[in-house]
Amino acid sequence: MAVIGTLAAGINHEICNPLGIVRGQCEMFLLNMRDGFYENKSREDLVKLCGDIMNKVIRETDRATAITKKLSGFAKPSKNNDMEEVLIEREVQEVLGLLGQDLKLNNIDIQTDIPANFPVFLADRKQIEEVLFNIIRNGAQAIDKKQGKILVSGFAQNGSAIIRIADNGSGIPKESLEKIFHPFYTTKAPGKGTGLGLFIVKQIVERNRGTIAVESEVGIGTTFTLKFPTAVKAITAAA
Amino acid sequence: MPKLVTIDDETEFTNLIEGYFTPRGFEVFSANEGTGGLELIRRERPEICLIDLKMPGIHGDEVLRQALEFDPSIKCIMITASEGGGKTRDKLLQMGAYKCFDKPISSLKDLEKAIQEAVLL
Repeated sequence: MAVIGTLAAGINHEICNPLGIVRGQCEMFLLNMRDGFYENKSREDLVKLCGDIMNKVIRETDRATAITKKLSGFAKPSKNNDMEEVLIEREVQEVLGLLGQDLKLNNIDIQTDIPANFPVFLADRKQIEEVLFNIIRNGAQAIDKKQGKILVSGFAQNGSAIIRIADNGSGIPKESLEKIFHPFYTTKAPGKGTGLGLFIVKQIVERNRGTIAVESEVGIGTTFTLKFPTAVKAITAAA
Repeated sequence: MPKLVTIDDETEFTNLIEGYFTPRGFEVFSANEGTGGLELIRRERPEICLIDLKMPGIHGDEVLRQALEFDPSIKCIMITASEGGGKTRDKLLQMGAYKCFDKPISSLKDLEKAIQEAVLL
């Protein structure tokens, strides 16, 4: 219930605020017009003013839309028939295909260390890609060093497939660490993050019968550990 | 010219308040977090403050407390999200807030009316 309460409060803050700005900008224009505050403005000034308002309206509606899209994607129930055997090396490569150029531009060296006999597990492949995408992108954004490093590694342990994503970024302070999976919690600058990424990641992992844990040290980096039960009818990536 | 300090982490909100109240004869000062807002209050000694409740760093209720401690005559209007329901509002009014408005502000006209009334008090 605490999560639902926080989610509701966050929706109110993150969606109603942009809508309030949109309404306010339009109302301000109309009332300023009614009260004659634009009478001395030239046509060009008025056109520019209208343009500024339109741009704000577009920016704020985009902001609200982005959040509703994220939430609707998250609310979409996973069907059992979406579950398939996940070969993690393949999913990691898919994600790196999307993020690789950005990582390269930011001088981030990404390495993978997943053994050929890494076990497969049953999950929704697209959702697992979303999880990897979010964690790797977050890791890249947290890197403030000239030589950034991200290592994606995997190993099997006691019937579980374990995936670790470690970065050498700025790290997360202890007081923030326990909140990073809360909805709408973000340490990014206003407007730079919705605070939904890791919340959704955790929900997806749990929906796919996995767990997620995080360890971090300020100035050293952060490691996310994902753990999924291996598929009963195990095949290997090499097979 | 009455002075109005607006404190909100949404820059677009403080811009909106400036854009609306400046042509209506107010001298508007903006801050996007509590500490800067309190500095403005101490420096400008405004008649009116618009304070967002939910902000990073010092929350609006603490800004309210310190603002009234500095000058109990300041009319502080609190901008609250509705999730706290009546309890939040009651608490802020008990602390000395002049009025509370739900966020998002549903009408600038209503906010202006409340501010004009407060200036006349």
